Amino acid sequence: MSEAEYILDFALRLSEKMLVSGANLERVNDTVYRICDSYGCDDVHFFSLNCYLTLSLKDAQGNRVSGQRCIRSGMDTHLENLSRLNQLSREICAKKPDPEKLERLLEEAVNTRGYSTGTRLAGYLLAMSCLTVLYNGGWKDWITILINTTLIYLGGIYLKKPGVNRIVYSVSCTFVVGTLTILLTKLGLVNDIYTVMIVNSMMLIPGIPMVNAFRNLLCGNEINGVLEILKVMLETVAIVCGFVLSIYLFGGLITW
Amino acid sequence: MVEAVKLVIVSFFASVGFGIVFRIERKYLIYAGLGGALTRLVYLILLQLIAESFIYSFLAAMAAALFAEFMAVYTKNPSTVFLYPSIIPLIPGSSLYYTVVGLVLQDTELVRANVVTCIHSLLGVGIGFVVVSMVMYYERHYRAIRWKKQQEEVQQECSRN
Repeated sequence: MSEAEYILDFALRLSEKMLVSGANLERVNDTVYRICDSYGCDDVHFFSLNCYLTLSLKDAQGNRVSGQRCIRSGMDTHLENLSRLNQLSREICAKKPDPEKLERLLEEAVNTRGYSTGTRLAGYLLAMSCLTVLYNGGWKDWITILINTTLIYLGGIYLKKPGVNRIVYSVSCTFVVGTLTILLTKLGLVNDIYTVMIVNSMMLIPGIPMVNAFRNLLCGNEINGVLEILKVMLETVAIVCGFVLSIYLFGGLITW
Repeated sequence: MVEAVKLVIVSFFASVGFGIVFRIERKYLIYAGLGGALTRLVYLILLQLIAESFIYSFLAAMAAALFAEFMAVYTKNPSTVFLYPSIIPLIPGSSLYYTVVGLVLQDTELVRANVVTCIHSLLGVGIGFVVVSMVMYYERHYRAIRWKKQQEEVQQECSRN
């Protein structure tokens, strides 16, 4: 591989990892241009969407290369990785290591231990407990919310492995959780069914991508903004559909 | 007053919880919580002074973004790391939920009651972030240009001597 190809490959991989970890497009664009600039690359053209990247550059020797990358995995926010990738890009711009070593440096940067499954579940439980207080839920609602949160979290882990579509996952999760909530309401273990459903939907509603989509629209990344808004709306409709389906099928139980 | 203090404390822990969910480094979790608490505090104060959801969302988002930018400079991290947990109190989750419930159930009253608040809040938050990040971007950009010029002047001075 030539020097230009190493830089191109590294820049595309780094951009993908940054986007998946939760970086916004402006930061990714800025990082790619800085890295290319630090290696003396000329005539750099980079276009990015949350699902697609394309980069073309000419290295110091005049070799022109271009490449594309499709990002099939959705956003999986990992802010520790994002910090490390940011640090890596700073170091690369400052020290300009040998282009052949770039791939290894990238792998080392994202090879973090992070939080265990149990700790992340505890994080979700803490966040959902706080939201229960913010939405004026009672202690009975709180217990149901904790059960539902655990179910959604574990469902996410086991459904992600076979690569289940995000919309199918959202409908299935909210249908199961909605049905369970209705049953618990029938047993007198829930005070306000709608508080439980809203708090649990907050776990699935893509709030950060929604805010980022509006930000993209306002920053001049209109194509990405429109695509992201569509995606967010579809996911939100899927979440609501699961709850509505459970209410249509089993909602009558509450009035017995 | 007691209710407001309770909400600020709860927002602190909610942001810490979401900080773990978003996998922030352990040493920064406390800052994530502080960001959430600060945003909630500003939001509650503005709610008492301003009736328009767009304006108070915009100003609260600016406060969250300024906090994130300050922390980013202080810890040498991207501002996103501190921005995501800080904006949790501003996400209009319930109004988005009710809007979509209204659409699915064809309840136009429910949609009408929530859709405007939802869009106003989202626009306010989006514009608040963009204003702060643009100001910070240009500030950094011009500082880098100034620094480059100073370096060139120093080099020229050295070569003359």
